[in-house]
Amino acid sequence: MKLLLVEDEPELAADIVAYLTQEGYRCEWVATFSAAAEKIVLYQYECVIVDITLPGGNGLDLVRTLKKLDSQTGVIIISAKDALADKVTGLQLGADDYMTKPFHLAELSARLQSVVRRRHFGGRNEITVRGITVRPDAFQVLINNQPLDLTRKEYDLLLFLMANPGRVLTKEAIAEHLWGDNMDQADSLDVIYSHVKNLRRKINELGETDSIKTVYGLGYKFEL
Amino acid sequence: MKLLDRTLRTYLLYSALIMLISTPVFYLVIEQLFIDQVDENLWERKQTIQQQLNRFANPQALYTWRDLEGNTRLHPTTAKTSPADTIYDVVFQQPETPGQTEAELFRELSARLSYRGQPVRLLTRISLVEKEDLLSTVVLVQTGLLTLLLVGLLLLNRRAARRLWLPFYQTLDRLRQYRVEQPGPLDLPPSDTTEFDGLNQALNELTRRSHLSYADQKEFTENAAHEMQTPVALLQTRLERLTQTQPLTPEQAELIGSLNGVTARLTRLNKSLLLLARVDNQQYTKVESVVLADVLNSLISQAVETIQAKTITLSRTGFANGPTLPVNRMLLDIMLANLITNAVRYTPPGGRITIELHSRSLRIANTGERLSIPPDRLFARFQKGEAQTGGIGLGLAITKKIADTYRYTLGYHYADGQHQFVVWFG
Repeated sequence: MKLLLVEDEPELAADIVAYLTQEGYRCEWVATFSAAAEKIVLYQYECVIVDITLPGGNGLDLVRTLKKLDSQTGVIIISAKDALADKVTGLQLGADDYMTKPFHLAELSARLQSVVRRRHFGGRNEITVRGITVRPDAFQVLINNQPLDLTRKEYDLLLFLMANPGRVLTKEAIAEHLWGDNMDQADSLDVIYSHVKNLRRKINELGETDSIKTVYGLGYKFEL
Repeated sequence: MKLLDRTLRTYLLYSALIMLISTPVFYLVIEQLFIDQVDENLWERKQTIQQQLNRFANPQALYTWRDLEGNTRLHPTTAKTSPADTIYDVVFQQPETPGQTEAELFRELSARLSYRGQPVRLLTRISLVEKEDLLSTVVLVQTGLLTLLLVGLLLLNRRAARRLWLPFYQTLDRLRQYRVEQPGPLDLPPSDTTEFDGLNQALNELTRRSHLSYADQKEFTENAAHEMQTPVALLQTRLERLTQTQPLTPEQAELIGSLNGVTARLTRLNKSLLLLARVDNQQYTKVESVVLADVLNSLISQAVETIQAKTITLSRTGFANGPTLPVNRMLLDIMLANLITNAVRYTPPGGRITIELHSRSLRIANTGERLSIPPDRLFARFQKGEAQTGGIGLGLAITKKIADTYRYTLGYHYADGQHQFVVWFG
């Protein structure tokens, strides 16, 4: 799975590349507009992660070029500007997602998977990890072919955990994933605990061993 | 009381005083003049009669002579008893005028004349009846004129003052509407009046300076927040990578966990500061019709887990007839989310939250202890109560800022053991 990261901040780019490489992606990185323009013409990528403010040009123009060349490539815009206009323009141009810096790498990873899923399987695919099968298009979870009845938040939490298997998801990343930016997260940390508790109970009831591990002081992890 | 009325009142009092004093003085002066004139006439009459006295043939004719009105007579006298010439007032009933019953006031001259060496006493008088008529007319005219003058002056003064003070009232009006956020100085026009021109210039300068320092401060906040964004993002991603390293000792995990919390706070702080700056810069211009009740319901559903966890009773009333507002959806979302999060956070377990919608207002009340900070400081930045609840202290400042942007009125009061926030949608 080949990705292109267009990001002018080298340190941040290094983090993203390192994280995504560990996830099994082949991730290339360029820092300038012209270098990116060249790459997208020359090579094919599954997904391009592009910053809007770049030396030498606007990332939105890259999205425009990309969509003209090959509509199959997924696009995630990452921007320091939380400007609604940019978001709307980006999505209208055909970008799949828009994230505001700073963001959690786990969040980026989850959204990346969702983009790739949508692009390549038309959303009609399944994720199966350790006996748990998720059908994202139907919001359906199956354990040993039995449906698991989850609330919306529990479902989102499970999918987020399964999108980052074997990785520690911090409580902060989970809170932001579940409630977004507008809700202040200070109160939601306790709520995450009760969601995880319910999720574990429901999975156990269907006879599957509990794959969600608590990482003390940090968060939770979906064990492989 | 208006400045205009204050000066007018002083003028009015002064004029009334002058009128009160001047009328009797005027009366007395005119009366004195009139009497002087009558006296002079009497003396002249004496001269004339003296000159013509020798025309009488004998004393008999002399003493029976009357003038036409019967107001002049001559009497025999002896030199020794005859007093000096005097003029005095006398009340006299005119016998010659038929039908006249009232006694009249006269001015009478008693003078000594000589007829062929013999002393003769002259008594001649002039009626003062005309004096009364004349005086009353004169005083009436004078009072009338004074009144006219006064009223005229008042009206003229009022009109002139209105015109003169017009620039002042215009300045005041502009100043009332002035908000330090607005771009550019107040730009008050120059005035012909030195004082107002000075005032306008000073105000122009003052507003220019306050806007500059406001803009400076705003720019600083914005730049600082922007510059903070990349390091914060880096801190977050690095920490996330650190989280994934193996193996982690429990001690390391705990340290990283607390750093995660701190970074999350920093991120929120950063986002909030940027948001404040953006609302200030009016970057959220897209306005749509938003049904308030829908926004509230969706926000409540976001918080429902926390509400259940704290066994808070939440009641909604009037959601059916809430308003539809022309507003930027995102800003309204943020504003109401802050109020609801706040209510949920500060309600003690087992408490109660009431959300009440009216046609033009919204009330969010929650049970809780009285605040330790004064209510008027509640909406200021970084004002936090004693309770450590993890808030960053910008929520209500943002709420206030958004309310101000749409000219909503945001109020807080504490009553019946409840914190009550009320938003009036203008």
